[in-house]
Amino acid sequence: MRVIIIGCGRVGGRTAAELDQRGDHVTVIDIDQRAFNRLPSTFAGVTVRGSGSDEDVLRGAGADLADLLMALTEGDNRNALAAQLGKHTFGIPRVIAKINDPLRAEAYRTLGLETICRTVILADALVVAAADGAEATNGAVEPPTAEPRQGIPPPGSRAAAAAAAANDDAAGEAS
Amino acid sequence: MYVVVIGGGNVGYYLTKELLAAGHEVVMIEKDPGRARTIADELGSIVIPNDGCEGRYQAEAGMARADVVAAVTGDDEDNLVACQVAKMKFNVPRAIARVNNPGNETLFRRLAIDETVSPTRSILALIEHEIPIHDLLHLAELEGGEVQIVEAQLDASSPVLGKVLRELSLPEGSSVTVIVRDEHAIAARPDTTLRAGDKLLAVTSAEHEAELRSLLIGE
Amino acid sequence: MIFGRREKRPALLTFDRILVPLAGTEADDAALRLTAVLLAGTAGQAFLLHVIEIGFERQLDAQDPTAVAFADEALSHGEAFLTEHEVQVQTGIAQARAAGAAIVDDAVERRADLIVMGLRYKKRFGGGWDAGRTVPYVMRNSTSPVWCLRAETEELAHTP
Repeated sequence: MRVIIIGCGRVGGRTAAELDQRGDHVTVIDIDQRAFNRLPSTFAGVTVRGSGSDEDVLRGAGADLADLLMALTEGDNRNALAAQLGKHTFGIPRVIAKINDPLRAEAYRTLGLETICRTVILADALVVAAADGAEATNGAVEPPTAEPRQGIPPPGSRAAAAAAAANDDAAGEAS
Repeated sequence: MYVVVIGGGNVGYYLTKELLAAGHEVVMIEKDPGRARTIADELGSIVIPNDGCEGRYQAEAGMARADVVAAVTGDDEDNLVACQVAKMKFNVPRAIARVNNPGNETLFRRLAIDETVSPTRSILALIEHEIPIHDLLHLAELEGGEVQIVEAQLDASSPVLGKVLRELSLPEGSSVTVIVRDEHAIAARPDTTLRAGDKLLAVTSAEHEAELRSLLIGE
Repeated sequence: MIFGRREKRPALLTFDRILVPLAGTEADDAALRLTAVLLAGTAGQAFLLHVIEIGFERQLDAQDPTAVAFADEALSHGEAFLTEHEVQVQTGIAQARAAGAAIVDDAVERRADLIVMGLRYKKRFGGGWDAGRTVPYVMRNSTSPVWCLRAETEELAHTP
């Protein structure tokens, strides 16, 4: 699959690396050269320095042949513009735009864009985590893998009471 | 008319003033609170200090009863989104977007933005009118100047009027790709007859450009 | 004492026309009382004004019976109070996008030599005093002097 990713931030960079690993043809576009430092040295895709909202840059990046375009910059509006450019000017079959404003994301779904909305995803996951625990969030919220060594808790605190109770239990078992 | 102006920079500010002077009802949405306050101090309580791309603030601005929305910020993407939200959520009859990058104009029109205004293109057009017609207009160059893309406008004195393209002995490395006639672009076919007023888009090599010029335009 | 005439102390403050914008809340009471003190028994006049704010989603001359009823109530209450204290009073309602601008314009029109406004003590989320939009606007933009009476509070802004 030929994928164009606009924006090599944390999300764009990681997505690009994973898709590249899976064997897809990935082209990443970013206006800032340094953003490409996020990519692993094993990255086999193409990097293009330029604005993903610019028709010429997209054409140069192979938009005419792309199967999927993901607009992942930090600007909701820029992503909306780039995704529509991909869809209408280049006829790219699937376009995904990161649009963090839930209302705008909803509106753009009616215009043929797939949208990813960080606000809704994170808030929903956090509510589930709060109500049903991290395990219920399908990996969105991860439980701790280990507990650190405890220091001495301040006297009168909940942690101190818990520690005292634990000691009593241990003492009780021993006797 | 009830007009919502999005963007309180120079364009938005003067546009609002003019509209008010002409007797229209205007609301401006300007993101920067300081700028919003300054404008409100002068023009009255008609500035909403928030992001005009958000449906919520468009609602607050009474977008539902607007006759026109004019998105005139300095960023094309913001103007695009503001107009699209206004049309999608509020069915505003006319959406006008300022387009700074002329390359975006076609896309915006396709996305149902009713009218686009590109200051760049307007000024470019003015400049072009200053250029004598008896010359090739340079549009772009490739390969470090080796290849030129030019436009030749055929006026009444052009030596090739009435000829078909096939008949022209174009110099080495030159070809006519597109003819713009009456504001429409038509493909340049071997049997296309050339008329006065035609604008020929041609590709030529740098060394043969003068020859192409005298062929199409004359001495 | 001759002929039972009461000696009048010369007034330190005299006003001929005081504009008293009424919000229709308990903040109005202090403003009304101060106005009564200043004008009782004088030839000065009080003008009570309530501004109905109309959002942009409606035409400026939109009819809003609920808002008008609310205005009438606030104005009647104020009028009754001032009349009881021997103050000459007139009332008015205005519709505007922003109350502050309407108040400032009204003061100019009436040539008010003082504006008296009450202000409830309000806090923002996270602490911080919220003076609202209207009082600061009138303070900044009015040519007449403005006296704002801030109500008492049980809790200050910086207490979370």
